[in-house]
Amino acid sequence: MKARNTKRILDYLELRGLTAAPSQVWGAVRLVPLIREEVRGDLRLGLRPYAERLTHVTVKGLPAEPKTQYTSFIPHGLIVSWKNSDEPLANWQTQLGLHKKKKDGKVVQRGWYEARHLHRVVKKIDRRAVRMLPMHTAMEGFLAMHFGGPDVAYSYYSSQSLRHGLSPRTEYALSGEGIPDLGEALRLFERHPNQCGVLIYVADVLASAFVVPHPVDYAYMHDALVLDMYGDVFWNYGMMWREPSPFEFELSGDDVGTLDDLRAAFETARAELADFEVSMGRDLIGRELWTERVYRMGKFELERFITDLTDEDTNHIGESIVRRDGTLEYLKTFRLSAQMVKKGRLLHALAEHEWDLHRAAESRFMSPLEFRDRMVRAGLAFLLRHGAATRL
Amino acid sequence: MVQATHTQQAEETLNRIEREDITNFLASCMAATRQDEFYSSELAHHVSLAFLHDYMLVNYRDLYARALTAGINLLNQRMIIVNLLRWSRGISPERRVLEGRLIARALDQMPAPQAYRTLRELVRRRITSRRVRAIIRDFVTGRPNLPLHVLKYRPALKAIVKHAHVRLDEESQLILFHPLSKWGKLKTPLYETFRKAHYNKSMIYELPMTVAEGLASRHRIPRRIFLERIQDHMTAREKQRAQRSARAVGVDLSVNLQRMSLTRLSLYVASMSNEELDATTPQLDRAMAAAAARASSKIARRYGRVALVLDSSYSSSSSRAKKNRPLAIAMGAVALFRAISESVSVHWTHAPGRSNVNPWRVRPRGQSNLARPLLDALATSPDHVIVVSDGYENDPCGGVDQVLKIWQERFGRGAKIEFVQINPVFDPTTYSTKALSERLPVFGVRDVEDIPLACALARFAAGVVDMKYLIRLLDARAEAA
Repeated sequence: MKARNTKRILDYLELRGLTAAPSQVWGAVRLVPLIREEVRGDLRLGLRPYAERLTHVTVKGLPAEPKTQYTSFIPHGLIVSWKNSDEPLANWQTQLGLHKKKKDGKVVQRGWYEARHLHRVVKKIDRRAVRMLPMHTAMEGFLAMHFGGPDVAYSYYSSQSLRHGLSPRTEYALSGEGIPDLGEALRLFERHPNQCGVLIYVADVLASAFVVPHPVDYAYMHDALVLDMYGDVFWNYGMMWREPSPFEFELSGDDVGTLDDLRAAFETARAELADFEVSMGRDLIGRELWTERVYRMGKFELERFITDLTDEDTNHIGESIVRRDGTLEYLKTFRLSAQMVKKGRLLHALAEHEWDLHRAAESRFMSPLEFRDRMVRAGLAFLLRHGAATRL
Repeated sequence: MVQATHTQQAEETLNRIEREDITNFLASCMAATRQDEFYSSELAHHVSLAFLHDYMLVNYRDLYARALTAGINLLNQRMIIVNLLRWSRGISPERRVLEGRLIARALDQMPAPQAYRTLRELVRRRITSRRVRAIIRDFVTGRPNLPLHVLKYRPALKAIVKHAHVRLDEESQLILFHPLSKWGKLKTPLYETFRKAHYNKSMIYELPMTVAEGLASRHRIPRRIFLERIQDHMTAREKQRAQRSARAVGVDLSVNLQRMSLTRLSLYVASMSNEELDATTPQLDRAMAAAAARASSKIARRYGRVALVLDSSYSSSSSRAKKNRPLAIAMGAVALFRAISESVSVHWTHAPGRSNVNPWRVRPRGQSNLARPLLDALATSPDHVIVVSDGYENDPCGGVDQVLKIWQERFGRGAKIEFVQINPVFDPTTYSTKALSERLPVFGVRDVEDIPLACALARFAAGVVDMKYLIRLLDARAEAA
């Protein structure tokens, strides 16, 4: 059995170092601003836009002869630069003498469109800087889950899966432009001073959480959120629930004797409202995660995670950069669709039992045939050989 | 007996509906300009405003016509004029006379380009009747400086003269309807200058700026030389508009800040960069005070202690079409209330900085957290609390409403504070100006100078005064004008 390369580093997701403020609603979209109390400035993110329609990322092997490739539309990369001392750092784009390092991969003309070839999802570009592909770091991790396929050549697996594993593994996601009202909500959003993040709810379901280390970086990346990818279910949610019901902000005048009491009551109610709006995302925030460290940058660690898949309904994947003291510096999450979750759960069950379908089925309290049916319905039929049922 | 109470109730309801309709309409007419706003598009404004006007025309024609004198903005005056003329079947002769007088007066008092736009709208929509023709004839022949208008507004004048069959004097007809080659020597001095300027470069500098501009390009005169020499013939507004583009070609148009209206000046200040602001702060302070003093001479009411709650959130940047206008109105309100009240305390949603920083350095940034500055304002125990906001609040949504509710429950009886919200933005989805709270009377404005009037009208909105009073007030304004 190939062990999952996961360690429990971050037990559960915590918005440490950030406070929420009351949300701003436009149409179906509710945006909850996250404000950083203490901005240190020793970690900065910069945006590097890619104009190409397609990007191939060599995950394994060299760019010349890739062994594993990750292919997607990738609107931009992130440049993460950091400093080990506590002094503040200028943003990557504004640092001098780096014009030569602007080149990122290779662009090739492919008939009517251009494609970019990149090496690695997270690539070191300087002593204290890496280029990473936001969201795709997590997505690549999710797609690579049990990517190797069956370890034992049971007769019911197809030769394709025995030879090539799950390759090619594909999933679909929606660009933010496809979510009703998201673009308009982002455009009309009134940024708070020191705002470093946002929780995006569509029809009051958490679609994504986004956090950066510095408010100036956030200001640059706010509009780019519309280009990122989101779970395809949010198109439906956005269409069906045009207006989330507003939360009644209510003050009680019972204990108010002076104007100062009124002020205190107001501040408490405001904080409570904001906390409540964060707690609406409890299917991600505060939930247990499987975490994998991707890259270490001095006192920061880049990790990707997936919620524990015990819940069949809502699961998220994401990536984060966490400071050694536990402060959340960067976060970007993606809500998995129901089918992605089903696939993940089935693969996980199989991998847990050394790809023995009988034992896996038993562990999920169903018959092997039932388990096989589920695999077919979840889109994993290609793993099984023709007529697998007769061999079960 | 039972029936009597029913009728009474019905009447009350009717009164309330009437009051709401009229207030809504007046407030909208003060604010709406049919341009893009931060939260709504031009198209939405177009549709919404057209409906609102039709509704008022059908249900309250008397008041609709009188609204022309109520200090509403020019776009809505134009719309009212066109609507009144568009549909006059079944209107009694006395009413027609009254409407005609109101229309003529409104056209006279508008800036000329606006009046021509109104009349051209009649041409475009092919609205014509004896009444329309008479109004156009009276307007055109009533111009004290017709030759200037013939030159400056040639296409407009041509269209409306043709539409209403107005016969002008010989030379004006010649200029409007015949080519240059047919003109010959003209007796009117301005016309003669205009004719000569077609052949002689130096003559163009004796013409008004907009007329000369066209001829300058015909003569291929460089912009720099043109601006330097035409300066004396430019109006104050023209200079103000051309200031930055003139600086780009190396000409310094001296704009007299002291003579700008308060609204203009506030918009100008809101458009300045931080460096420009810091360099000219003392002049700006003086100019703002002078403009406010001039505006205040037309305002009868004086205020006691005023607390201003001002919205400088990102949405106060409005749209490209009316950049920073809500912010500028808020800035102007500071200057205005300094001139007409005992004392003023100012509470921005995002203060420009510590006290030593330039007070005009507010920028449209951040969220709309109006409840906090409202609490600060209440702490100064004022007589009036005036909120200037577009009605969108998000930190938290409904904060102002709740603070006002508790305040009125707990402290409302002891202290008599007059609350008013001034809204520079029309909300097309509700056909009105958006209120922050039901407890806060709201009224729209376009210009800073209208804020006191808006406060008075908000009293009508809140039900303190009745409809007859309003009609008397509007009639009095019409007499005075």
